[in-house]
Amino acid sequence: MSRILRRTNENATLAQMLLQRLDFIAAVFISLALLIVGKIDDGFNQRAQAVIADVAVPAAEFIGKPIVWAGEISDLVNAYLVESEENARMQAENTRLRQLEPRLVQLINENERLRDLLSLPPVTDSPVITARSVTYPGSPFLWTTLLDAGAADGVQPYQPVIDHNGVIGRILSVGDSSSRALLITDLNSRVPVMVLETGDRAILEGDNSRKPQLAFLEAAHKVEPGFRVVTSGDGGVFPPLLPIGVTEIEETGMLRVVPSADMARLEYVQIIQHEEPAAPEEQEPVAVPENEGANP
Amino acid sequence: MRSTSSKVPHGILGIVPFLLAIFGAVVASLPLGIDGGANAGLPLSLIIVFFWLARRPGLLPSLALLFIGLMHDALSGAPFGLTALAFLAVRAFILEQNVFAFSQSFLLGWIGFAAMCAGVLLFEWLVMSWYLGKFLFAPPFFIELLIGILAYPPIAAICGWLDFKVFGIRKG
Repeated sequence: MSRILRRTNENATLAQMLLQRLDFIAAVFISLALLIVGKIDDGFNQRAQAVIADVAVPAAEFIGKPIVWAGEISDLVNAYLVESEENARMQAENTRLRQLEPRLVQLINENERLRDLLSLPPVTDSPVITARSVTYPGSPFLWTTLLDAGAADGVQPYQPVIDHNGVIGRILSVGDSSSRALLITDLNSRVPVMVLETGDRAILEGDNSRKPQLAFLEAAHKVEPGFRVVTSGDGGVFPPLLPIGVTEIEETGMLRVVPSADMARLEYVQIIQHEEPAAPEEQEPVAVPENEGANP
Repeated sequence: MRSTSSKVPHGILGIVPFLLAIFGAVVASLPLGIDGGANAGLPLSLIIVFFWLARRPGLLPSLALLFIGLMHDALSGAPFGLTALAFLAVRAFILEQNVFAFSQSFLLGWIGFAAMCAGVLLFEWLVMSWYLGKFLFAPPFFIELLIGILAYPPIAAICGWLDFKVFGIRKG
C-alpha cells in the first residue's frame, strides 16, 4: 500500500515538473515569437503596446499621484520661501513684455501687409490637444513617453508634440485613451530643421544621447555654437519655425543641438493637429482664358 | 528544472509577489528623477523578480514572468518580449543552477543580484543593438546597473519584511 502511495506521489511530482517545463518552454517561445514578429513587422510593437498602454496609463497615473503631489507640495514650499524674489522677477519680466508689446503688434501688422502684397494665404494656428506625460521618457535604449490623450481626443500618428520650451517629438502610436510620443533624442527620430541665423537646412538625428546631432548640413555651412535651430517644415510633419534648441560644437567638430525642452522633466505637452498644406499639383488649377495665346 | 511545488504557499496570498512585480514595473516607469537626467531607469521589477525567485520561485511561474515582462515593455516602449525573455533567463539560471544560496544570506543575495543585473542589462543591450541595427550608447546601461545595485538593499529589505508578514517564515 505504501509503495503504491509513494509511486503515486512520485508520478504527481513528475507531472508537476513536466508542467513547469512546458510552462517555461511556452513562455520562452511566446517571448521569442513576439520579439521576432516585432522585428519583422515594425507596426506590431506599436499596436500591441497601444492596447496595453490604454490599461497601464490610468494605473500609472493613479500610482504616480503621490509623486505629483510631492512635486506640487515642493513647488508650494519653494514659492513660499522665495515669494518676494519670485515676485520681483515676475514683475521685471512683465515690464519687459509690456515694452515688447507695441513692437510685436507692429511686426504682426507688417507681416500681414506683406503676405497680402505677395498674395500668400493667411497663417492659421493649428488646434492643439493638451496632454500630460505619464511615464519617464528616458531609458538606456529608448526615448519615448506615454501621454494621457489618445484617438478619442483626436490624437493621430505623426502629429508634432511640443512643450512650453519647444519641440519634443512626434506621436508614434495611438491607443484609445493614450498615445506614445517619440522624442527628438531617440535613435529613430529624424526632424528636418533649419538654422535660423544662416538659413542652412539639415536633419536633426537622435542618437539616444541628450543632444541630437545635425546631419546632412552643407559642407560650406557657417553654423556657430549658440545658433538657434527651428523646424524647417520640409516633409510636412512639423510646421515651420517651431523652436528646437541651440547648436553646440563638440571637440570632434560634430554639430549637436541642445534641446530647449528638458526631456527628462516633461509634464504638460501640446499635440499640434497640424495638417500638411496641399501640394501644388493638388491645388485647383488656375483657369486659362480660351483666347490666350491666340494673339502673338 | 528543480521542482518547486513544496514552496508554493497557500491560497490567494500567493499572488503577492506577482502584484509586487507589476507594481514595480509601473513605479519604475514614473518620472522619479533618480538618475539625474542620465537616461537610465530603476530596475525595480528586476529586483522584485530576483528576490522572489530566489526565495519562493513557485510564486513566480514562467507565465507570470511573461505577463510582468510584457507589462514592463508596454510601459517603457521596449520591443515586446524583451523583458519577459530576460526574466525567464533569470528564472532558468536560478532554478537550473540550483543557486538557492541567494536566499540564505543578504550579502550573497546582493552579489547575486549585481551579477544577474549586469547579465540582464548586457542581454538587453545586445538584443536592442540587433533590433535597431547599430550598437547603442552604452553609458546609461552602466548607470542603470549602479542604480540597481544601490537600490537592492532597501527594496530587498521591504520584500523580506513582506515575506515574513505574509508568509510568516523568515529566511535568510
